[in-house]
Amino acid sequence: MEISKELFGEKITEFLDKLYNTQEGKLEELSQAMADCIEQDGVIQIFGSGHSVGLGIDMKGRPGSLVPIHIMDMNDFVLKGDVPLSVYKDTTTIFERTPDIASKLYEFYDLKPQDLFIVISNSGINGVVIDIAAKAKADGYKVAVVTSMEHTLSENSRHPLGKKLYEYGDIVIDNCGPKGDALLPTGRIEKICSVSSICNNMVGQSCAARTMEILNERGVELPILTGEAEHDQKVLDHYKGRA
Amino acid sequence: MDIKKQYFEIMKEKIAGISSQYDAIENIAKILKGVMDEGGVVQIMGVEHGQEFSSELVYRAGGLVPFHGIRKDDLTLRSLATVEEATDGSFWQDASHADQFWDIYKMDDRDSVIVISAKGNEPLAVEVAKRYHEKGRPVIAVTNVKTSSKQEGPSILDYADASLDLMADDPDTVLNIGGHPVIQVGSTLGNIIAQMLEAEIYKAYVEAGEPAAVLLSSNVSGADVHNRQLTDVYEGRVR
Repeated sequence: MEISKELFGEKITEFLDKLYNTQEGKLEELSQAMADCIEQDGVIQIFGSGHSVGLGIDMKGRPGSLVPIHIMDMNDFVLKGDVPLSVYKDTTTIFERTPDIASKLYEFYDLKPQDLFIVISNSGINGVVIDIAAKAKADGYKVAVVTSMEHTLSENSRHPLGKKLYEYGDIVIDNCGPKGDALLPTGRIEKICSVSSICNNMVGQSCAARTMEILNERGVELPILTGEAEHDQKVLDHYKGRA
Repeated sequence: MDIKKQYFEIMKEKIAGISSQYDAIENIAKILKGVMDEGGVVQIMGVEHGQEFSSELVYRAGGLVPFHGIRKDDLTLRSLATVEEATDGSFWQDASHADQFWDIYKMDDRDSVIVISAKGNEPLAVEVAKRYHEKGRPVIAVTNVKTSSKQEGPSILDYADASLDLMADDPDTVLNIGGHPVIQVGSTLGNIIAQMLEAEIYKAYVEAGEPAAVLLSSNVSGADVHNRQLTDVYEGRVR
């Protein structure tokens, strides 16, 4: 079929139906876990490799967004730690392959036992995301994973233990993304138009909505930004240093 | 209705609404293909959540090669901007950061720019749009029209050759929970519009009978070599 905006619009719409219809139960589980975490004064910790961190970014920082969301960011090795940029960006040694890097990242943050982890990776086969999830699990945190099952099952793990990200998830959401992420075949070697960021945003925002609804039903005051300065400052102060 | 389902249904309606911008998307795709034909790179700068639009197109499997992101992280990592100003939004009020971007990136006279800002009037965003405009290079502005139309003062729209609308409300919220307007759609619509733009640029290559420089996913055999060959042509301008 000829590649065009119309084709993408049609395919992404079908895709959203597939995502909701196949994952609704898992999305509900994640929403319940997020609501439990927030009700117990926990923070939702988000780690995503590459584009995957978008799920967290989209849920944060605007009027009508939840506040207790924290993004674990590899840049913090430079911004909060003592890793020089030249080492961090060195393309031959590849910083994220440093042994035990996940544990070191944890040290920058004020984590509480009731925190919930959401770890996102389309392929779910690379070392650092798996280590982040494995450590969270070993430390007793609840872990949710967002991954493309089609992609992750079609490739070998690059982790020393041969593990994949989904194996560490208490809740595993399949973002339904195709292997390689691009949606549209072209008849040539390449496929075009990646969909994982769109799908991950749908997962994040739909679960954030349901989380707020659950909290509201339980009579918990919503820890959200409203755009009203005094209110927002109070909520931000409550989570200061954690979110 | 399940509120998650409700959110999915709202998004589907919004996607259908993008058809009102199909002419604009086609026009912009032609402009950007022209830039790429001349050896130019399309720089993309997203203000705040506009960054998501930039991430959608820059160095992505299934995406075209000649895109590059103008990112505030690249300044904070070099201590050229503080984490505080990057976090509290004052970063975008300081137009002098434009000089720093020109220092750290390999900008080229053949390049053009897409600037994404819901409001469209942050001084840094306006400055970057203005610089490309003054060099006679195409400027594409992506704003949230319901928001940008309420702003005063200079706007990226003043310097734009073409523009797109993120199609969200102002403020960008689509649900009401416990009396509060919550949950956004603008960034995801931006991502979808970005992919439609990508599809249309690709289509323009197909119609011209020319190969398009598309990055392959690393699971495709030979992808690393293919991707390196495509990016090496730009000598550090795209990554």
